[in-house]
Amino acid sequence: MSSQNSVPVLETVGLSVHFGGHQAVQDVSCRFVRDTVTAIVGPNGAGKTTYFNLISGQLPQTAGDVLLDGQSVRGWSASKRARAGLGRAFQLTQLFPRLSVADNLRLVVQARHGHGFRFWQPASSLTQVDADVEHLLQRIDLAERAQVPAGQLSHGGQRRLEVGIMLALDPAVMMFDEPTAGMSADEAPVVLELIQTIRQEGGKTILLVEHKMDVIRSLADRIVVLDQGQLIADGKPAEVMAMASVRQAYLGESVVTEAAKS
Amino acid sequence: MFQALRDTLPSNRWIRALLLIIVVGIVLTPWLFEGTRALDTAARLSIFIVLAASYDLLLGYTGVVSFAHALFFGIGAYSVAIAFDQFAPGFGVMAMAILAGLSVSLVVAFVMGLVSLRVKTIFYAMITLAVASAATVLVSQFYHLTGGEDGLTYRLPRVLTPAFRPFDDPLFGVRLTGKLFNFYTVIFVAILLFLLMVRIVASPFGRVLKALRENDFRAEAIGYNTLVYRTTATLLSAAFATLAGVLMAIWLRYTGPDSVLSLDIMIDVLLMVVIGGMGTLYGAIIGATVLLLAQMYLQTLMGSTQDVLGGWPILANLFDPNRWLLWLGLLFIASVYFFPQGIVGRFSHPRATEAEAEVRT
Ligand SMILES: Nc1ncnc2c1ncn2[C@@H]1O[C@H](COP(=O)(O)OP(=O)(O)OP(=O)(O)O)[C@@H](O)[C@H]1O
Ligand SMILES: [Mg+2]
Repeated sequence: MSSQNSVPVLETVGLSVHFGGHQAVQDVSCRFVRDTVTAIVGPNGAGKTTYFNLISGQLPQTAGDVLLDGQSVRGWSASKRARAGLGRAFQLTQLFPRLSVADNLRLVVQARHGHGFRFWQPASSLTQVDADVEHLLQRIDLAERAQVPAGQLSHGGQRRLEVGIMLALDPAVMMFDEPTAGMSADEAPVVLELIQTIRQEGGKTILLVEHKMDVIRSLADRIVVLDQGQLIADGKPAEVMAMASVRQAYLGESVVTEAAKS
Repeated sequence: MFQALRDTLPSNRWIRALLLIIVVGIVLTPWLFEGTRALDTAARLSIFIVLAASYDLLLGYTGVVSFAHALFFGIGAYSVAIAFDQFAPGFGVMAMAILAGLSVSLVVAFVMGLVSLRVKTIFYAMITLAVASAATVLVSQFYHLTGGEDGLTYRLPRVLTPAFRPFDDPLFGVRLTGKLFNFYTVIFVAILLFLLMVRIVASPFGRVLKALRENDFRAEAIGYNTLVYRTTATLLSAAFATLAGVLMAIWLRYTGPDSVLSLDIMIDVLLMVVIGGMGTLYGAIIGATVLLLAQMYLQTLMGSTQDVLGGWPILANLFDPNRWLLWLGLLFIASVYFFPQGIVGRFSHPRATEAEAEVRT
């Protein structure tokens, strides 16, 4: 791994937040470099989603800082961070439910191109946007459902669209929060292959919250373990899975046996 | 323009036909219907269509609930009224009054937005309601300027008044007076304003407004500064309402709290948008027509129904013209019950969607 010698794309420094007395994320310092998929794992309520929210600006931190390309993004709104290259796919699907699948993607592509403040030109004449959307629809396998309101898609379809929005935004940093949660066994691979493809195309910094160990093993270059808001382990998958503290905190029997098998 | 219309027009043929009938009916009113009452209804209708459409921009497209929309309508009307009351009527004065009205509206909308648009729904609604009521109090307090409860009656530039008669011969039986010129000025500007709004909702910006309505959290997360977009929508909508108010002041030659500022107007506009269909823009045309015609002619209609039913006292009593508000209420309830998405919303999908579906298969 090149994390030691190159400037990290994303870095959190002593990042913390508490809700009332509850310390949800506590002094998390971590660096993320390009062309790396980092799996973020931890038990339910460990603070993984909250950590993402702090990075992408949905939630203000109570202490610490987030650096993007070495620059602090303190005080930036979520939209400014998104424009700067911090992309989110949410654990709880966040779509525009009554707009068509195609329009959901068009909105993202037009955001990326910075077309939002055009009042005069008909939106339908943005041919480049439509071409991009056409391509994206193929990639997430929703071309047939392009005109369906997003809210009427199956759960799996909605999850694919959630990932499609990330693809459409094409940010430098991609944060996936349990992208396959609730998907059936035959639906999940579509999403995982998409992430695999993004990874192979290169140039991205990917953070992935995931519970399934086989997924982590096949996708992740590195594992970071959060427990009760704290970073308790960080390293190569095999190393981390072998650590006693990690097993105790989270991984439990199933993973230990899986790790032993591999 | 045609592209924007194609993209936004409801696909349903009957709705389209209805829209066409209404628009043609308004434009040809002087030739189609007798009397000043019809002319007055048509002019008011075109103005209320602009007002309702501008409210739809906010409520239906952006999902912002405001009760201050009549306030901007009032600002537009009063700026023209006060100017014509204070100065000799002329087009220069009118232009200055319009600019002044627009500036005041934009400042008020901007301040209201800054204070409260961060929180989208109920708090903003309350603030707007408070500001709107404060405005009606202000109008009656500053009666030496505004005419108070009585309002202002003023003179217009001569070409816009019935006294102006450039031609002796009528055209196809209609006298060409300044009144007619006034009428067509109002209609022409109203159509222009409506088409401008069509352009806006069909634009990439219009698309973002719908995204805010659907899920502003997601809109923010893909890089749209929701506060800026919502404020811009508020400003645009206020500007259109102001211009509608200007038209009202020009048409009526009178401006008072009841004609442009009251909560009744706000409720009417709300009903027009809801009946016509939120987030459709064209719904404003149908909603305004239904409501205005009901308000203007329901009493007459009930009167004649009562005469017909003279033999059955109970039924006749039910159709007593004094009960027209009851029937209007029933009409609303029925329309909201049967068309919860509004008339246009119930019967349409944007045509572009269908066209693309065809391309794809
Ligand atoms: N906005 C909030 N207000 C109060 N408490 C919160 C808020 N958001 C999260 N929490 C709390 O912070 C803790 C961390 O939650 P978080 O959602 O980050 O966990 P997670 O690791 O993503 O869990 P999961 O695996 O279930 O998704 C939880 O105890 C949660 O209840
Ligand atoms: Mg979570």
